[in-house]
Amino acid sequence: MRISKFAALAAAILLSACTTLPKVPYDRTLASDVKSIGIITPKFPDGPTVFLASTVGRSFGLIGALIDAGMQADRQSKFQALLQQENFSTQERFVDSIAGALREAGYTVSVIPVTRDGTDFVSTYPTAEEPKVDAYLDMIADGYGYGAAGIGWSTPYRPVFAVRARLVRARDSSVLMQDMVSYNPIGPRANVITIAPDPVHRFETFDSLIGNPKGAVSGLQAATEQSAFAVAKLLR
Amino acid sequence: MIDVVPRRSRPAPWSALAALIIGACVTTSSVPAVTSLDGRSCAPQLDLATAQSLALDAEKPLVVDIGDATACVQTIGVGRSIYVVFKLPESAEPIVVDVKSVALGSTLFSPRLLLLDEAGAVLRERSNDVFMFQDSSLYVGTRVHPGERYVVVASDPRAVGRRESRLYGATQATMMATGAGGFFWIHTGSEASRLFTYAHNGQIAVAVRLLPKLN
Repeated sequence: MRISKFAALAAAILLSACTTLPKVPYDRTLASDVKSIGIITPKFPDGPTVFLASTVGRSFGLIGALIDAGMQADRQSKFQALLQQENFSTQERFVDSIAGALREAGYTVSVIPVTRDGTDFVSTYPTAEEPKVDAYLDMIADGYGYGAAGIGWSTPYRPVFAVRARLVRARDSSVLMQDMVSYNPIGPRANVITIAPDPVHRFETFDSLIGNPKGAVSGLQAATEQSAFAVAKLLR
Repeated sequence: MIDVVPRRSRPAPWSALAALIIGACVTTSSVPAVTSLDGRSCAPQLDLATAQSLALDAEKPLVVDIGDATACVQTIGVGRSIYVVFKLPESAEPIVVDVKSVALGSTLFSPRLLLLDEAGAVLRERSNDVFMFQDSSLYVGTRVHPGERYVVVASDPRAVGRRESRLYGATQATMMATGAGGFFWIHTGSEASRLFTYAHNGQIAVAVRLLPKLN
């Protein structure tokens, strides 16, 4: 069960860009009444993903896939332990980064705790509750962690982050903005804002990644912040 | 164990996947980047007579190659700029114009947008920095305001000449014959750096669609 869960998570981050999500561009002049934004607790996966986008195992059918999934589960649990050891919360960093960027853009920003269920955007926003805001920023992180295009020094592990975002007006629930952002997508991505990885953050093997906790966190932090800034840029 | 599939019963989805992967590897042919318009004679005003009509159809973007034969304008404060004019369709519903600058090898047209009224007066400008990367293209979607009749996609001399290097990871699946009438797939990965030069020339794709109603 655990292996299936991790495999599904890796598949989600690889295939998230294949999700059909109609793009709604934000127009600040047409939404001039939106001065305060409430950041809804973003949906995050239970843990990070550390994946190889292509492996030898994939060439060997179901058996190969199961072996891959087992190795991936092991890598992910070790990386999750590393993040805990370094006291790094990707979700907190993401929310802090986007809140800061939106404040710089002139918005009043609140963080609104919401208990989420499912993996889609929130169906009903807490409009009756305090703090009152003009719009809600609803975000779903499809995955975060590290990915490598393949095996070997020429395809190192680099940080990855993928998020769907939607801004919804509080008074009438109209969708003012909707888009997807992917940091270091491995493979082509149609209709997704893509951020190329910083070349500095490279780990040739999983052992070199896990053996450099500060560097590993630094790379993931960069991916998280750049993704948050990209979402904020969509709201300028 | 090898994942062998007899040739005759090869499932169609694999063919589609292979086509997708191969399609992703196809790159447009490269053209030299034009980073200076010195010596080019440019008109002092935009020529709306050359406007190409956009249909309200997201599936049919107008794809335009921008090069030596494309119109040029010289404006105070901006300088010389290559441009293409598009006539927006009329619609009772809110519409969005999607503009994409498509890389031709390392050459990437450096775009900005001007939105004009019926008389050709500039109502607003969207600068180069609102464009964001989508894979190897620059993209921006813009809601069309009432009264806006033309969209001009022009080169931004302030960004032309800038270079940007981007890393791309990719995967490939290669079909191998088993020699026993079947085949299997070998999956490999690769990573490459692409250097883009922002230029006065390149290729753009422009489409208009209805604003999605999502609530």
